[in-house]
Amino acid sequence: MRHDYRPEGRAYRLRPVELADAAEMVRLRCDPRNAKFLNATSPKVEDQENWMRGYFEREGDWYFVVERKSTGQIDGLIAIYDYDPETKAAEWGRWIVREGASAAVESALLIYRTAFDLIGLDAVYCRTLALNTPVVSFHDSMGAPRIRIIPNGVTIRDVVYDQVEHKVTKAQWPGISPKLMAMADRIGVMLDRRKT
Amino acid sequence: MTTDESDQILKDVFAGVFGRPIDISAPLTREAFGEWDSLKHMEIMFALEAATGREFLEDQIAEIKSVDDIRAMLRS
Repeated sequence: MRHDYRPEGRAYRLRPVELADAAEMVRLRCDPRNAKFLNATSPKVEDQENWMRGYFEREGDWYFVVERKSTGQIDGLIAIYDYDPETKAAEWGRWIVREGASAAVESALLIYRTAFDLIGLDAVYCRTLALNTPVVSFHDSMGAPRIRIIPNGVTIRDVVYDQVEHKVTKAQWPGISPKLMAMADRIGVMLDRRKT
Repeated sequence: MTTDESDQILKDVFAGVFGRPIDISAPLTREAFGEWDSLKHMEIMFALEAATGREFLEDQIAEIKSVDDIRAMLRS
């Protein structure tokens, strides 16, 4: 949906995706490192633009570019979607970080802040392919409670995969966020360093 | 820094980050060791900085894909 949430951290900000981002979104989604864990993405920019036109009309779906504040470079993508107004819960995902970028920690921090502080969700969950062990581990490492395994939870290119669900409630977030905040700050200091 | 010194630092850092002894004599890579996620990677790098008194740049941190890469970085 069209929105205007623009949360900022020390080194990164999230901003709404725009049609002009379509080519970069295709590049990120079609990168073989990322594509194996994502639903098939057309390599055509116009197909991405058409998907985005549908997304702009879809309620309960907030899609963001992860942008490096110092350069404006797009270092990733992230989204909150499948909002359920009855439970005030939604999923977060479509998470991609450009290879070599240091955006993972702060983009995760910012998406939780968006969920709880800007959108006003009571809970946000994430379903990760079980075989995507580095991302499953990331959620574990940040302290997100692992809720369940969803057997055969998703089909990608005709292959069925289990998913691991992590869920964080608004009440749990104050106990989880300090670790991410501290790490995001340290990463920000590191990113400010210059080659001498 | 000698190889023995750097390996002791590596052992201590990995044990501290992962909460248990990690066999760093094996050809340990990020790809093969799923727990070595991007958050843990930063924890390892910052723990190495604290242990060695050195500061690493984003490019150096991004290029680390294995324990052998860390050894090479510590030798440089």
